[in-house]
Amino acid sequence: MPTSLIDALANRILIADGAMGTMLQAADLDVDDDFQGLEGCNEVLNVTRPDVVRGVHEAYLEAGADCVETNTFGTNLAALGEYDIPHRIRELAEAGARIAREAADRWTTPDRPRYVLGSIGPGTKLPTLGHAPYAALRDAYQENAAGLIVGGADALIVETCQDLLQTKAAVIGSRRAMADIGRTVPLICHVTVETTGTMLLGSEIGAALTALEPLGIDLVGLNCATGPAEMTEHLRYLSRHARVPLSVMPNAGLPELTADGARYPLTPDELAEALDRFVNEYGVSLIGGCCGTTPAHIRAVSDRLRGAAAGPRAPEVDPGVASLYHHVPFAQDASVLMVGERTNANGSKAFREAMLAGDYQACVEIARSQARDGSHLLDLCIDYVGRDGAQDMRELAGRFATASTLPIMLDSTEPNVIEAGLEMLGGRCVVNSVNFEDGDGPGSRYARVMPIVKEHGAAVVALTIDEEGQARTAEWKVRVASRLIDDLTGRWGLSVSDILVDCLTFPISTGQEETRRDAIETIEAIRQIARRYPGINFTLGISNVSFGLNAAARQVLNSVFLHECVQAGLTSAIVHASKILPMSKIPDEQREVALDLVYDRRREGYDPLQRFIDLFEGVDAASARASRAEELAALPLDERLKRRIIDGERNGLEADLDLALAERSALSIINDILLEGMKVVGELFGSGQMQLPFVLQAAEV
Amino acid sequence: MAYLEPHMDKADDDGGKGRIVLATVRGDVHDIGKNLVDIILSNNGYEVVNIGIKQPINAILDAAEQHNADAIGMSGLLVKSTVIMKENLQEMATRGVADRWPVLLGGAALTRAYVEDDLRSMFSGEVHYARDAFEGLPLMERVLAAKRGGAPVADPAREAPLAARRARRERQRAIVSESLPDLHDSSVRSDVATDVDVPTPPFFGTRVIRGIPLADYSALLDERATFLGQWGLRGSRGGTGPSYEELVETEGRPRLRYWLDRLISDKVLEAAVVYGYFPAYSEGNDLVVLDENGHAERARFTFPRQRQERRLCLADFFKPRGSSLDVVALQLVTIGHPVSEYTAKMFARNEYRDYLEVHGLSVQLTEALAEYWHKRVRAELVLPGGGTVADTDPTDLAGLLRTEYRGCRYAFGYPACPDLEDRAKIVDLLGADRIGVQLSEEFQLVPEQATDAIVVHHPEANYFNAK
Repeated sequence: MPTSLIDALANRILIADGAMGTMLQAADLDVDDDFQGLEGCNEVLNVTRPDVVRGVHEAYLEAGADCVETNTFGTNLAALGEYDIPHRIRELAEAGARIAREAADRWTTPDRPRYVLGSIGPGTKLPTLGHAPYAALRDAYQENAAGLIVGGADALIVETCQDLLQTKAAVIGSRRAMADIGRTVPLICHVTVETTGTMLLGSEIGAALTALEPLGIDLVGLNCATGPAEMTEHLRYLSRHARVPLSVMPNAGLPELTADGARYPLTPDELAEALDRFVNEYGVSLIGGCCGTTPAHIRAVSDRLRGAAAGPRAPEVDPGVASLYHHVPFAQDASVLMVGERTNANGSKAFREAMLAGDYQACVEIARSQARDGSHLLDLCIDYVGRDGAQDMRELAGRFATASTLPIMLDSTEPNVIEAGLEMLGGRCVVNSVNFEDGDGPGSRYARVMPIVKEHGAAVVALTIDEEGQARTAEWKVRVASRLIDDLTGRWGLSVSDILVDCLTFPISTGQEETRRDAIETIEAIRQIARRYPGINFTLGISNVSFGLNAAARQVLNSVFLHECVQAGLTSAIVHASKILPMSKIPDEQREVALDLVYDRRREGYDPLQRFIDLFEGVDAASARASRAEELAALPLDERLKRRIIDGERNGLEADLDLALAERSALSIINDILLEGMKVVGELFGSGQMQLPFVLQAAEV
Repeated sequence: MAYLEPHMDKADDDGGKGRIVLATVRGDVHDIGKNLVDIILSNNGYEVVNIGIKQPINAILDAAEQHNADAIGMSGLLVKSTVIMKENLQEMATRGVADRWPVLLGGAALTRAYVEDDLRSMFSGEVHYARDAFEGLPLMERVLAAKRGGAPVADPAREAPLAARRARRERQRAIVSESLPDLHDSSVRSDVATDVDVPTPPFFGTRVIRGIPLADYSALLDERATFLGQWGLRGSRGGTGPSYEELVETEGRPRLRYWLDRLISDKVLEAAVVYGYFPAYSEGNDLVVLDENGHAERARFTFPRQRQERRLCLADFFKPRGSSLDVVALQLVTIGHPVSEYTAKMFARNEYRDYLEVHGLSVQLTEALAEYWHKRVRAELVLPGGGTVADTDPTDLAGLLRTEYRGCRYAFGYPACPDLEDRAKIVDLLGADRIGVQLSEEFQLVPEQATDAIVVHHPEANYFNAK
């Protein structure tokens, strides 16, 4: 039994080959005979001219490559689809793998095995931008991977990835193929970072690592787009944070346009020198070349680095989630991870109405306002009676994917809705939620949701609910949480940090005796679970605690309750972030009474609930804005227009202007009303009572 | 306003209350100030002919002629622009049009004294200073009133003390320049220590860096400079309005979070760095930068020396020729080109507040990136006894912004290294075109959201004024 690729990598670096396409172009090939009339379809050569393809492999093996990549970069839905031969994916992939297998076997010696890397290229469709549906791409990648495995590949390499959702489809397709065939091979995953410093759709390297590692990949790395010089910062990040070994295959520099087309400037020795640095400084284990690299490059790399050991790495894993754009750690400096609660069709009337009306732009604006208010994550819930939930989820998750930088917590009771969301989002999501309400047997909701969570590498909210119902006491909450954590880590292979335990919040504002201790029990459960499972995460729907109180009272009670939970170990909270007050901003008496309410400190003649309600009698935080709009509407038209200028208030402006135009000329409106308003603005600014941004907002009106 | 425009009759279009030609002067690309004046004046009924940035005096006068303007406004952020403005006034005098258009001047490097003392004394026409867009508004009213036969703008009662002050300053200046040595006197050296440990860089030569996560450098954003300096969130004076701290909570931070979210999802930011380490030594007032092997001279920077106090010169922070070689780091950072187009579109769409905020934020993010990379450079410089230059870094951002770390970062155009033309040497040494940064004819970095620096490791290095 020859040494497996992974075992070999544990001891020394391995060297892969260089470019395939340019080598094939250099061969003397006939469009009709060799390409079967499909000009430029290199993969067809796997069946028509295996000798030419094999010749390229031999040249690289002779130059010193330990691994050769199959000629299957285009055996995917998009590329073969363009030639109208998508049905030949598996055939051409398998043929390509066999050719490489033969070549590698011929060069293998007892002390030097050679390996076949089954190349899985991306194709040209970007599912995040809606170019093709995720499921169709995934299934085609599965075909590709199946052909490669059956043809004899030692590993699969998902490479040149530009879109994280496409990458996920390729990785999951590959995993499904392995499961289907019953043979597991190492999976290498390369993203492509453009000269802009991000992937094509704007993903930072941190987002890529966080999204891809939980999908079950064995190596992570970079290829294509740039030479090694532009890759250093991304490799540095991977070196510091990736759990898995690293792989890198740069182009031979940035192409220079010449009269004969693109020319890659990096010489073999320069490539070898750059890769030497990557191996030593960043501990890269698998190296090779991409566009513009030749057998001469690989020979120089082999001469310099063959048998070398990768430099030491001490990665610090930073558990978290990711949007398409960036990594968001669970652990936030000086704060908890705030999960925005307004993008919820059950919790926000504005969001629900926009969704029901199909006004998706309004939904996106609500998402953006959550970012503005300080949320780190968005809880997205579209569940609404009588709707096609999967369809609503696709519409909204697909838009949020690109329009917001906040990662998504998919919140639904329906497994198919969760899956629909995961198939639109290339980043790493949190699934909200799983529990043991109907147990964990076959057919239970838990058993139906978890395979989806696992396949997509999501983090998960674990609710403390079991067959007996919602856990009310600390002991019960801890018992259910332990059972969930043990099963999620044991049976499903999640790490502890990927679990966000939700110890449940109940209203303590009703006055009923059995609810008085609910806050205490939740806080105590958090404390015990945090102690028992180091690294565990939590979440909690804070606002429920104050259900039924008026807005001003809720803001104070929510803030105080959140503060106490954080002291006990809470790491994230589902809240309206801008409505949370720091303890120092809450008047002493309000804070003290709120604490008494949370900890049920009733005394003879003192009920903190009653006292709390009295404190906020007639105080209503939310009414201020509404009354301002009413006030505006009550003003005479001229005054109203002037006031609009001063306040920078555009809503309803055009209707007012139309009214005014019925009475007088446009010039008169400008001179007599609008300029008067601007004059007031100027005076306010001059006397320091108005700030520049508001002045400009007034000018916009 | 835009909504009403279609309803305006042609006859209404008489230039309103008056017409002004606005321009940023030759060699200067900064247009935020000029555009704010445009916004304020046009929203107060004036017609503004905004002809853009880098405008030579010919173009300004042509536009004033063509549009039959009532006044000319010139703007510029650079120190150099104040000199250009003076030349422009001289040119107007030469052409005999000094009395035809009143001139309004504004810009960060200008001072009231410079305009009202120096410029007014050499210009026969009217020239006025406007501190900000809002001072421009009443000024414009007075200028036009004067032009149409009202009271003169300049008040004789105010002019007299000004003349006295001018004379006093002249005398003072004469005394100083007679008694003090020349700025380029290289016969002396300050008392800066010459025996400090020289750290070892990880490499000699240059490297390009791309893909720095926004969260990493935006964490070093100077909030106060952004909110107060760029966005104008000044606490209300006297009365019931919000304080600065309240404005930060209600406007500053929410808008900052909003913009960071949008700038990423709209793919506006392309942070890039090019930096390098070079062997170097000092020779008199010169810093001599050598090639990677420490042999040939690659560049020579000549810095001014203080004429009094410690007689500091930037070159003094490097070991003198003849002792062992020192090391200098050079860095040039940018957040990329797309932000210029992004803000220009906002201005064109009359989204003035967004325009102000994004422009200001882009400038401060560039500074934050420079701060971030300087921190990286310190961490890469290994001291002979182990440890790095970064070991004495302050633990919080405030300390970092107060430069409480070892060494200093000097950008060209500031008092210790005022010579903008030296930028050409840095741009060349680093190969700045590799990150898309060019140098304009006037030695400004393009895009505007770019900044360069000489990084000095010497523990005594700090900001100082050489004059």
